[in-house]
Amino acid sequence: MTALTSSLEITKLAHEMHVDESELAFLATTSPDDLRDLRGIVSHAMFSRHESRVKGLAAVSRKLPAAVTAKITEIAMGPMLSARVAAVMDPADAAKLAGHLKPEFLAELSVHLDPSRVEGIIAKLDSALVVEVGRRLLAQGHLMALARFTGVVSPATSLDVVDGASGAQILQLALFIDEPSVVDPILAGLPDETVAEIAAATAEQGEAADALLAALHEDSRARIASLT
Amino acid sequence: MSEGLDRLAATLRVPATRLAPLEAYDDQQLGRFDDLVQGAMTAEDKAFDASLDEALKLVPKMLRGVVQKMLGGSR
Repeated sequence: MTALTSSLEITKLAHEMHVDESELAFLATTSPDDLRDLRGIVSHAMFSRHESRVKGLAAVSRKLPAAVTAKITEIAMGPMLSARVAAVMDPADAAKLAGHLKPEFLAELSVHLDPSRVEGIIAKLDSALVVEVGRRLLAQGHLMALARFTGVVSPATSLDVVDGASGAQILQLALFIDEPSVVDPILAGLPDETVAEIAAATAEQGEAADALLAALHEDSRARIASLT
Repeated sequence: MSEGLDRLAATLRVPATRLAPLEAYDDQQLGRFDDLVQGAMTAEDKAFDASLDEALKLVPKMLRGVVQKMLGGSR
């Protein structure tokens, strides 16, 4: 797994830290892979804070019916605290709770979810719910959060989520996905018209888009080239 | 390892060796980065505490102490 460019990794790190990218510009000489490792370290440090209290909340929630916990979650805890609790819950319990939460709240919660815990929880969710939450993230412009989802769901689910999205949106999403090979089967399922839009949008993304294209399977590259 | 790298490693709670790729940066740059990380953590702490306070308001007063104890007793 190779990160694409340092500037893209700085964008992701800045997002993780809620700071402006310009604040991290000095890191541009660090390799993309080293920046990705640094992002993982920062992310872990941020998410592991308050762990004992969060585990206490998760323990309290286990003693209540999921429907009651869901009400408390939506009314009182809010998306950020709920995401922290979800991250320390058993994925099966978290998925059960998710089934009682409104999709709009789940979308807000998803933005705050620990990336390392996304896969275990998503795998147990109903795919229709995943698609609805994914579409909300797309509509709200939370492409980095959506990229985490896209990396762990099936290409069919991803295609349902991006159905109707612009080529520029899909390209930006693809740039935020940590594993470029995830993009190939999604591209293969998109209509020519959308792939042509993606090809046109690559010109505006410069070095990052070039790096993504280079990381794609040769069939994907050939199709994009033929539609350019 | 530089002083700046040691400080950042302490903030991130990792051995300084894990931050070896950042050795090329000077203490001023590393100190600025450390400030940003600490700032992000402080902002998260405030948001976390505010959410927790809201959640605790739903707990009856007579049980709040018990719940707070379950949450680590720090609040």
